[in-house]
Amino acid sequence: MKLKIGIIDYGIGNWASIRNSLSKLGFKAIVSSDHDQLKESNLLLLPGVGAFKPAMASIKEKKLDSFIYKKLDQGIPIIGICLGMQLLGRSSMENEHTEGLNIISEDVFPLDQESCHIGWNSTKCLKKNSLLKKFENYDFYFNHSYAFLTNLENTICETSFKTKKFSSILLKDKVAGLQFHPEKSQFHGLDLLKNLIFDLCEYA
Amino acid sequence: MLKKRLIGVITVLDGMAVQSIGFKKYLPLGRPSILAKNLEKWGADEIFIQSIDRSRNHKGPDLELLKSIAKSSLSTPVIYGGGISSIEEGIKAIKTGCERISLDAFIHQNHTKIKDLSLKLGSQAIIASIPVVIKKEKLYWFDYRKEIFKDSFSKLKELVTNRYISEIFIIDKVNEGYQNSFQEKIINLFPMKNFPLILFGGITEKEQIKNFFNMENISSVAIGNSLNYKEHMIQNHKNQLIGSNIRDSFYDKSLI
Repeated sequence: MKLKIGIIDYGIGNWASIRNSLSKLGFKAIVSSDHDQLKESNLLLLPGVGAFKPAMASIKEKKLDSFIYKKLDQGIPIIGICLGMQLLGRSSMENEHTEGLNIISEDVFPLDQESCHIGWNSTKCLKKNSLLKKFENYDFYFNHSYAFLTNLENTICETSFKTKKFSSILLKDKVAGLQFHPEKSQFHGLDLLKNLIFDLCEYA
Repeated sequence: MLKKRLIGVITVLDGMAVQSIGFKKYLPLGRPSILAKNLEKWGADEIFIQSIDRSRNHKGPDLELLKSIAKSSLSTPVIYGGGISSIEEGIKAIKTGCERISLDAFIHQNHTKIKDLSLKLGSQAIIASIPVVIKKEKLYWFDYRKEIFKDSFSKLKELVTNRYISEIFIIDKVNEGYQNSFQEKIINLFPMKNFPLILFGGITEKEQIKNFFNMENISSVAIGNSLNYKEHMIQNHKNQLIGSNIRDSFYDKSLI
């Protein structure tokens, strides 16, 4: 049986590309903001292009916040990618202070005043994780200017940019946050995403 | 450490990928989605699709092209440029099939609106595409729509100062399509010294690329024609650039 991935559509984003990538990996992927269409998903994916404030406004308007909390209570895993990872946090300072989903009780900060962190960079595991350790030597595609600080309780991997370090992978129970775009990181990104989905869904 | 990027550029004219020489002569190369798939297979760090006839002909972004790109399930980030002249069109392009957009005519027409676009998409998704020429030791910004040369970069400076954009895609207009001809002087004359730049136009040789990658504010080098019609050119460049802080050469056999 194919695992069903529900891609949460909260407005702006290249959803077709993510859906097609997940299909290529052998998953059944749907993109929707409709609770009924998403409710049978084995895993929810919160993707990320855009700015924090309008994304959160759209999530609230579509009542996707309460839907996500309900699904988490039912043990459905969730992966947040890039902005999607940041939305899992308590708040962000992007443009102005905006409250997030507060699933990970940490705040999102600007990374660098001078430039965005765009391009390929590696991750360094700070905590033991046999799955993510395998990917430590590969580069992944980042495209962001805000991030969680490093050394948080749930930080598994960190990444360096100029003099700063930030959380590039967070894990908390069935919740994962990836600051990079695995779906846009070619072979190794897709491999990581596939294995992470199987891992979170405890799919042997 | 953040790596320097080697970007594959696909120039599109009337929906067809073309080899461009100075944006004056064009030779057909094939379907853009096939070329994009090849660039991915060969390990391009990013793919830049520039539809060069969209703004001039007021056609808006080429959404059909972006749909075909999305359908091909690329796992390489895509930048799209061409015909975007409103906030709605910028958002539509992202939703249809790219991660980032590049703006040219929009900056000339209505640069104050780019703030609103940046607030919606985040500045990381927005690039300014700036074709330039040098005349009598002075740098000019070429406006394609009106075919005029502007000596003021003030609109661009405003976008940079306020961080409404993330990178500038500098095009050596005269040397685009020619070998080993990008004028380094452009970098020296360019008014924004400490902002991330992507260089394009006449870059074909490893020594050129190596030299540019040694410059702190050069985030990427973009190459068009030679990457598209010479198989494995990306791996060749990358293998020759070991030590230049680039991502390792990779050939995705799963895409054969």
